[in-house]
Formats: sequence, structure tokens, C-alpha cells
Amino acid sequence: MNITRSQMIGTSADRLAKAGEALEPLEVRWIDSAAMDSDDASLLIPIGHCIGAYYDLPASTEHFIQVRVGADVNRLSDEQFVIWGLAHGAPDRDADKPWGRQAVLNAARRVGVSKSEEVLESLVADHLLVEVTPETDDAIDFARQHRLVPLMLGLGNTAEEPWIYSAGMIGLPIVQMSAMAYDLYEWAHMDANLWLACEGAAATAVRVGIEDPLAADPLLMLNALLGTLHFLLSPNAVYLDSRLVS
Amino acid sequence: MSAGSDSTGSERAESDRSAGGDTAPLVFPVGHYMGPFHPKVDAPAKHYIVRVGWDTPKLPDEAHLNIWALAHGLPDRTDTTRWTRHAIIEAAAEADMADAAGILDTLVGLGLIAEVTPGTPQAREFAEAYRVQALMIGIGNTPDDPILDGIGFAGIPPVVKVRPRVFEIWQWAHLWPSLWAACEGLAWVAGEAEDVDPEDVDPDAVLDSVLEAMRTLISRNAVYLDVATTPRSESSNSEKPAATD
Repeated sequence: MNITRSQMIGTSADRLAKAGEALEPLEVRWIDSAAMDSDDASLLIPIGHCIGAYYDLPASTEHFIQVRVGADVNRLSDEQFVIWGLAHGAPDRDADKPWGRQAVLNAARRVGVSKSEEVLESLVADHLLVEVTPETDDAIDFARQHRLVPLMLGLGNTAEEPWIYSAGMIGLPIVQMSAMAYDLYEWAHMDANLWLACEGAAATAVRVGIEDPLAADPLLMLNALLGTLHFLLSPNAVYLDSRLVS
Repeated sequence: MSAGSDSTGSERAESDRSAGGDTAPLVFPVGHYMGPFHPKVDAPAKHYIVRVGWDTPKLPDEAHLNIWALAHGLPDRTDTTRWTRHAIIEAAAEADMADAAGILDTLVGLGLIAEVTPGTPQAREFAEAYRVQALMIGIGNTPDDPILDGIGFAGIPPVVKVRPRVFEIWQWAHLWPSLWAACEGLAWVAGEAEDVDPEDVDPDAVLDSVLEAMRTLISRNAVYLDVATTPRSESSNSEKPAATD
């Protein structure tokens, strides 16, 4: 198997590789999760902060890839890392189709991962992949167990399209999002878990008089976030960590 | 936000020059950059937002944004120049940025700049008042260069390659609620190893390493400095500003 690092973290890497060129920002849209086919609505979400490859000796090919979750570092094989990377999604995929188990397995087959189903199961068992279905009780449980953490700078909005916000690096917007998504991007990691963050964001929206019902209801906000989460995960604009425990 | 200072920044910058700058406080930017806010179509940026703890102090114009950005440090000078007020004012002058000293004072007042003198009691106060937050992902090392670890984004060359000690700080220090707690934690972890370097188990010595690493990491936006805060609890009713204020 000959897999490049960019394939490991999803196709967003191909866009980042063009950083020297005029990079067209990716667009994050809120997806109406209620419109999803209920049979296919389950999402596969990667958990953890990529710490990278670890080679112990010069010129040795012996290595593993580290992913941190909370205070624990998991050591992934190449095959596990490919599946974990593919679970971040692909920004050029069909926005109306959720990025779930089958989509990841199909993508794994295309890049030649053997025993991909078995590898995927090992990651689920290690809690490095979590399946969650928006609009179910599982979604709130998922949000209570995890924290959304930003990995890029916020780049604000523009005079041309002030309703769109972006994140990226200075001079290089990578991902675009609505004001509501940007609010979570900015603040969600401050809370001990994602559900608290949604409740806090909704309370703030009510306090400052934002009329969008989506922004004032934590459950609607969470479902909207889950529906678009892979567009934030695929370019590594955010990652999900385990919840903070006081 | 800066602990333990009585004179104004402008006065201290003058003092740096006369003293050669070897003991002058290091200057660090505080906060996670959130970009310009344009209130409506075709409107100029009303201000530039930085999140600091549960607050969002505003940089009022580009002049303040530029000096705050300059306070991060210049990557090609992090190994050679102590990043003090004097260094920032000199770099600002090179770039024709006006009134850097006055703007630095304003930024201190906004809580967007913090100053620390390593090796002094004030350094401990600083470490208790602030924390780091990590940005980017780890790329790790390679068989060709197993010593240095890359930090950046997938698919592009690492934004920065760092020694294991700096990588360790990027990877772990953000998990503690303050820099000082991180120093104590890292020192405790080091003490569990077999061959212990005495400096690695002394939190004050670890703090010196952390402050040195912070310049490398902050100048590349691989970490940012935040105030030490606690997360909102289930029963808390703490309020935050709206993102688009």
C-alpha cells in the first residue's frame, strides 16, 4: 500500500497543498439533517488531536502515528491512521450525504486499505471513531461526552459578504461558515463539553436578540453542527476531544 | 493583565535601551485571533476581535492589529532577539509603523499584551495568570530527521519543526488550566523517568523552557496565550459576548 500523508488526513490536504496558489475558501453550509434519509443518517466522527508520526531511530521504517484524546496517546498503525483520517471526511463530497461508516469504507477501498472493516471496528472499540445520528438522543449524549476545539485562527468576515465568516491562517482562509457556526468555533472549547457550549450559545443568542430560531435552540444548533461537522473536521479546522472533567 | 509593573511601557522601553535589554521583560500577545468584524455590506472593519478567556477585547484599527501581530515575534529572529518592548518598537520602526510604544501601552490596558521577566518571582505570577492553547496538528518526525517534530497542517510542509522539548510543550501544556500547573505537571512527569535531569523536575526551570518554547510556537501561531480560566459548569450562568459584536 502506497499512501501519502495527504490521503491520511482527507482530501482537504490537496487543497492545502495548493496554499501558494489562490485558494478558494471551502464553504460550510448548514444541512437540514431532517431531510436526510433516516437509514443513512448515522455519522462516523473521528475523535482526537493528531500528534503525528513517531520514528524512533534514524533511517528506520518502524513507526506509529499518535493521536491524543484527553491525557491518553493512542498509537495507530498506518492502516488505522488512514481510516481515522478518512473519517474526517472530504470537503468535495456531496454535502447532502452524511459521512458515515459506508462512505469511509468505500473511500478506504479506493485507497487500498486491506481489512478496512476490521480496522474501522478496532478504532470504534478504542473510541477513536464514534457513530452518532443527528436528531436522536445519541446526539446529545455524544455532545455531552466530547469537546469541540479549534485548530486555526478566526479570520472574521468581509465587507463583501459580512454574513460569512472564515477560519484559516493569516492570508489563507480555509473554511467558511455561518455566524452561528463561527460562534461555536470561537467559544465551544471554553466549555467542558459540546452540549454545554450549545446551551451557552443559545442562551447568548436569546440574550442579544438574535431572531434565528436555529441559534436560540441548543438542540437545533447541535443537529445543524453535526450535519456540517465534517466540513470543519476535514481541513483540520477543529478536532473533537473528550469532555473536560472537573 | 501584565503582573508586577509600576512604570509605563514607554518608560521601560527607554530603560531597556540604556540597560542593553538583557533583563527587560519579554512581551507576549494574549488571545485567539478572531479577525475583522464588518457590520454590513461594504462597511469597513469596525474593529478586529481577539478572544481572551470569556471576553473579546477589540483591536480598534489596523495600527493596533499590526503591533499586536508584531508582539508574536518574527520567526527569523526568535533565536537571536529577546522579544522585548525595545525589540518590538525597533521592528515597528523598520516597518514604518507609528507610535508603537503608545500602542503597546494601550494593548496592555486591553489585556492583549502580557510581559514576563524569566527567573523572577513575577514569572511565577505570570504563569499562574495565563495558559497556552494549541493550534494546528502534529506532523511528527521522519526517518530522515527523527530529532525534529513538525507542526502544521496535513498536506503542506510543516509550519515549524521543533526539538522534542518544544514539541512536548505544544502537545501537552494546553491540557493544564495554567502555565504554572503545566510546569508542575511536566516536572512531575519528567520525575517518573529513569535518567532524570534535575532541571526537568524543577517547575521553575521548566517554566524557563516553556517561556523559550512559547516564542517559537507563538510566532508561528502554533499556540496562543490565553488567560487561565475555568470552564463554565452545568449550573454556571456566566455570560459571554455574542461572536459578532
